Amino acid sequence: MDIFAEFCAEVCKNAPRTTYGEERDLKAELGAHLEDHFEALTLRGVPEDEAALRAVREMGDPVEIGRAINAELSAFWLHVGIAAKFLTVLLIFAAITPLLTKLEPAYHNIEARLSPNYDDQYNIHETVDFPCDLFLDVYGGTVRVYGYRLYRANEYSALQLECVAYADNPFRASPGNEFAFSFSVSESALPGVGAKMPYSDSGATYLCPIFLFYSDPERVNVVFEHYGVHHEFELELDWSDVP
Amino acid sequence: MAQAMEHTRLLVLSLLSVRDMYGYEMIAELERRFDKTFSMKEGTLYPVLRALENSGALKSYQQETPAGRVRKYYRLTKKGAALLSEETRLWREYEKAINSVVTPLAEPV
Repeated sequence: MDIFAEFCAEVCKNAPRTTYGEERDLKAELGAHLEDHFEALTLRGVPEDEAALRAVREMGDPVEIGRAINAELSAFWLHVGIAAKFLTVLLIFAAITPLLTKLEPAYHNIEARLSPNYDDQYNIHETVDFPCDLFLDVYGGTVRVYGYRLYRANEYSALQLECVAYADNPFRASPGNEFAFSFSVSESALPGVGAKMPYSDSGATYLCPIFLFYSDPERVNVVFEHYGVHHEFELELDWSDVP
Repeated sequence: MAQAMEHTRLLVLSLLSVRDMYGYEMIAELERRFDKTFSMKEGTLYPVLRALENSGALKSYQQETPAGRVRKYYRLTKKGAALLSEETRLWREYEKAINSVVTPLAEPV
């Protein structure tokens, strides 16, 4: 009967120290008691509905019974159960941690596609002096030029390109930083040099080729050459605010 | 509940000193013997049975009825018999103490 099952469940709910086997036995024992009482009442002519209600009512408060039974049980298995749950969570965490590590390159790759960010210093359109957005296709990936800076370096005027290289496949490591040396500017006094340190095992390599000039060119033609891949673009340089 | 358990313990041990019984059988037997002069919530029996079993005073075993209903029978152990003697002695002392107060007052002056 449903009300018998409900009563037994309520008792067991209030006896959390019971093991699985003890709970099953307790439910069976209480259930048999209720059935016996119900049967005795119906034999005495009590209608079935009333007999069922009386059998439950005469058992007493299931909460109180459950708590009293709980007080008689050892907490050992309850503590073992809690420890087992804790260990399970720990094992799951230990199992997924290497997976999360593998996702790190993908995270950097996607970040480079959406909003390039090197140590929170070079957010596109935020901290770059002159934002631009050029995508240079290379074998297996892309070199994205997302801005440039102008500054003075001793007797030279310097142009620093802000670039990031990433693979087409987000789960693969990004192409190396040799791309920094694939840029050239014809007007520069010295060839392009310099590259930021890439993230370790990263999906994105940040590059900053630097070009030095004897004067302040108003316009430069940037050439990118890498194993037969050729890209060319023009940048207008405004030196008026450069100290 | 604690007070009810103390009284129930003695009753349970006394019943089981005669023969093995299951929970409802004990309740029915108590009801028959007391003839409605004493009633208890039936569920209070089970924490008492659990406590006595844990202390080693009782052993339990299961038996299936011809109707297929599984019943848990309780049996008094030697330890349980010793406990019953001790509980009975305490009860006699308690009864004697109560009588020594109640009887003279109950007699007409």
